[in-house]
Amino acid sequence: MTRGRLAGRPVAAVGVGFSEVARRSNRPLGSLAVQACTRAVEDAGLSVDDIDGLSNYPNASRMGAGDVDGLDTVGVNFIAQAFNLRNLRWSTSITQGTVTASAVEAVYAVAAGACDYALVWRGMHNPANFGQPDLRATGDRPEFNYPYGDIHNVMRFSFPYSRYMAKYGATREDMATLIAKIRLSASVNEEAVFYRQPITREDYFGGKMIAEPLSRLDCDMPVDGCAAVVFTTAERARDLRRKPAHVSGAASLGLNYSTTPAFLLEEFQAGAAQLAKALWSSCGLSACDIDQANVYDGFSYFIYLYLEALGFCGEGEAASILGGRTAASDLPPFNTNGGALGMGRLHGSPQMIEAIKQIQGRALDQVPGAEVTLAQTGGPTTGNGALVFTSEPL
Amino acid sequence: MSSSYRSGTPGNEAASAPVRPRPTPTLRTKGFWDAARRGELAIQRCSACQRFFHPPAPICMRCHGEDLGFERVSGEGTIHSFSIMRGSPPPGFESATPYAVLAVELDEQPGLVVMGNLVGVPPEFAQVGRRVRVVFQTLDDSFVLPMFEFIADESGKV
Ligand SMILES: [Zn+2]
Repeated sequence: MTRGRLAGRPVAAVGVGFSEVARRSNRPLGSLAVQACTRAVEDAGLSVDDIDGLSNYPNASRMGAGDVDGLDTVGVNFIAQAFNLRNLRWSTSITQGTVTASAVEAVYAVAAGACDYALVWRGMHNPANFGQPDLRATGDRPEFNYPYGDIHNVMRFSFPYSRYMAKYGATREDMATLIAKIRLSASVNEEAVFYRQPITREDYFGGKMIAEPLSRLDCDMPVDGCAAVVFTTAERARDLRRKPAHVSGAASLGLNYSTTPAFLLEEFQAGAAQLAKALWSSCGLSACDIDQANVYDGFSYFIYLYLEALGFCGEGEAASILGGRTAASDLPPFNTNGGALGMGRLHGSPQMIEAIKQIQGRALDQVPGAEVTLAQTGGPTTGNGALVFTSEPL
Repeated sequence: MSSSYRSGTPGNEAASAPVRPRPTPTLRTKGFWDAARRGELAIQRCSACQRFFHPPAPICMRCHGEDLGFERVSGEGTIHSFSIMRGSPPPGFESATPYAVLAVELDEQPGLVVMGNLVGVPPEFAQVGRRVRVVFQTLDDSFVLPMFEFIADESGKV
């Protein structure tokens, strides 16, 4: 394979920050976003006036949400105003792909010279009244699904998992083992919503079943919180406070090639595979080069789909490997901070920040000598993104 | 017998039936619902290349043809995947929970999927790969929804 390389100026992540994260915070989301962004900028050793680029995925965190910038969502306008960022030269808001895809935009902008210091963040709001859908059955999905009670997102996303289980013999026992491991990682992570709350496999079996086969413990916990990352050129990164996490690979995809009233497993697998192919060709690397991986876990079985698609194991093998029924061959440590299932529903921010911290050598569960890490987030056909970070520029 | 079993029986919905959101058919989707009212499952099909689409597409996504009509299909297919609502029913479905929603892959074309509740058997009978056929359920306002029931095997067992 020809070694690919991202065009333009080499780019690195230089600062990260989480706000305080809670299931329900009494602080406005805008305040949490200011906290996360301030922490990321200070972590890099910069001042907010240095920020000249903004990239964000502002979509409301749940169905039924309002759209007040700074309360329900936090978009580029709110951040530009709140920090009075008069030095901005570039900004964008993407409509799908979550935080990693918006980070990919920031990387391209810095690489192209559109800005020098790009700030990326993801704010998620979780008030009690969210999650109630508009029940008027208009528009394709409501029209062909809502009359049958196929309304909530958990049910919507459970279809591919029921097929995965049937097709590959995956069991709830397999998932219990994986979830217990993830919650153990989160239990020692002070930034996790499930800090000090490990669970056992038995707890998983006892968890509330929402839409079979997805139980509450298969879903990331909705939270109020925000996370932020700063990107700059590799050259500028040399003089900053933190060790640079060089961006060596990037891809942003997650398109839907087949409009169907249900998400289909095979379409999910194709979507994940397309992202993987684009990511690996952007850097000339493959799964065997990765020292530590972070894959999206908004729903638990996404971990299976992405580990398989990225080439860490074969199709249909992840459940039996992670369930301990088959020996893992080349699986690197992954989602070591607890991911979104452990840290809370911050839409892939846990994945991206852990991949950066592992390169910087300051992760909580540090993988010794981690030189190449991966962050991947988003739904297979609902917008996704991925980044490869390296300790040295490729 | 669970309420979902009762409410799932083809015909008119029982008094304890869920309060189902009603589709608002558009010019593009009307053919599907009009056919259901006649007791037929009809799927949008491109007259040029014969490709089926569900939900109905704006144009043929394969040959870009604009002549798209609705054609009656067998109504038989296989459970591609399913979900059983248990712990968190949406508004209006509390009394009908648990209930199974099926993604049924119709025999006419691989990947051609139609949704429906599983009727006639308890929801936990849902199984990927099981053969099903369409049945029609009339709501209290006369709106007709396609549903799916098991096709009996050779011995007549469902
Ligand atoms: Zn056609």
